[in-house]
Amino acid sequence: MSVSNIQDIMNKEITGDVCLLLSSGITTGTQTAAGAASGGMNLQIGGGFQSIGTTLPSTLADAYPPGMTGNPLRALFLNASSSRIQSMLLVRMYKIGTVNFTATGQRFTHDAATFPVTRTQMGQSQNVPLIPFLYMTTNMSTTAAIFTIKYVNQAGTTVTGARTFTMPAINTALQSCFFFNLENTLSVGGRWDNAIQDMLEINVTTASAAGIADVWGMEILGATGVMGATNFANKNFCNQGFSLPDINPALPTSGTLISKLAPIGVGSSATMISYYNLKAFVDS
Amino acid sequence: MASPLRSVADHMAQESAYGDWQLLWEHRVTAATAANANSGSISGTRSIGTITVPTMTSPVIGAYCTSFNVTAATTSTKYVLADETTLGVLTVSGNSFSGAASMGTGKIYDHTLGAAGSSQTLATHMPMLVVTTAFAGSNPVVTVTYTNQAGTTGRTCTMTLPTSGSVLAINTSYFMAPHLQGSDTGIRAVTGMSISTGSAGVLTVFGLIPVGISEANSQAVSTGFNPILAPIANYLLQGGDRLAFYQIGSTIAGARMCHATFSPES
Repeated sequence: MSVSNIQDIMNKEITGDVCLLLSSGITTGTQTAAGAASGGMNLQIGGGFQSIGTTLPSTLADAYPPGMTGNPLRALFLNASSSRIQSMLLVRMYKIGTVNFTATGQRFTHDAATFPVTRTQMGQSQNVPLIPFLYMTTNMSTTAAIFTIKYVNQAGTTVTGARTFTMPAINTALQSCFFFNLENTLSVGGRWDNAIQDMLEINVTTASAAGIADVWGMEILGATGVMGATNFANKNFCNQGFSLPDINPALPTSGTLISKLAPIGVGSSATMISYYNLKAFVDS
Repeated sequence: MASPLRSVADHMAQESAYGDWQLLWEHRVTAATAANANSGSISGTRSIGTITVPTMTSPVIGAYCTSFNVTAATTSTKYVLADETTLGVLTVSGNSFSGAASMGTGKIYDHTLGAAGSSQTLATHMPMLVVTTAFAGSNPVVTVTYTNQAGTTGRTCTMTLPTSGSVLAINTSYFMAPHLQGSDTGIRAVTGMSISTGSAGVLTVFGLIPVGISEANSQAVSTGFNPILAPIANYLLQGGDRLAFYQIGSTIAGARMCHATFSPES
């Protein structure tokens, strides 16, 4: 690591070795609201250099600076504002695969990259737990799909889920995002999964006439905390709990991994007028 | 030497001995032309007018911005008060470049010393391409040749500016950093500028060193964060330095009430 104290970081700012990632969120377009059987709350993927505009983006952009791949960047300060009450997160998204809801049975296709993804933490390579979510790329129609999942949980155990996920509407809006229902039976002596290392199957029990979604897992790098509507929230990685997270992607077990850096708003399905600012320094 | 950032007691002593410089002013921004993915992605406006840091006499060697607040009723907008350096000017008619300049050298507060550190070669991580005279033409491609943060010369930044009605409004500002060459993060100097089309206008590259940051939202909320606590390098301003005010994230015109405090180091 190239810095040994806070002054080293400040010197990087004055000599141009920092990146300032400024981005605006979308201003119109509404996702389909999640229900109790469909993850309970939505998330909004904001930011990125191509996300300005007035509609939900059809192509997910990467908030990571173009040309900076391989250059070690550590987050220094995250600032977010929004027109809606929500929590704001800085995450690394990893694409796990796709699911097609148009027939019953196992309908999940894993991407070529092999999971788990790993990152050096506490001096050694560790499996990174990911919070999985769906990202609708083709609307459903006629019927709201119902499915169960099979996954590798945060501890590396393969779990065949019993919980049923029911899509919240027949015509789920494009770019809507929903959290998966992981097993949560701790109160009756069972398990309480909070993340996955890999998705193995998505078993559709009720098909839809149309509908395709990407399956992503997100690694939380930092959080600003919950903010009120028309409010701001900041995360100072330097002076507010010293962390300086590495915002480069974790590594797949094998294969080529699709990954994006993104600010995320969690809670509302309605779009937010939002603004993100991430400052990171070059750690070399 | 005594620094206002070293301790509360030192700050009070400096204010008592030399006096803080307090500013309360209304900054006006004009309506800007929106940016897109080929022009920095985030819309911005440079305000009308700048502020000159007053002359300081020995034993005062400079001053830090120790607070900055903006009151404005705009949605999800960031305001930046910055030490601004003109790095290059392009006159569209004739495609003529002039005024090549560098960021020069400067000092920041050194927490390990408890005072301003040694002079360093500056590079801006917030280079802005600004329409300083309204542009006439359609979607010009602008190429800026620069020296990057590591001192490598001959680097290029290429942007396509999105005109509206064959015009780019005066004071429209474009964030250059996303379009720097390769893995470059900053600019030390500009050595050339050129444009593909246009009949009138002037474009200027300004290098910013932020000294104060504030936000606004859809309510008239006065906010600002403390430059001392936030992870921002505390830049030692000198007499004659030019302070400029940028609105980032909005093209909306209007007045913005600003307050800033500058505390001297001796």
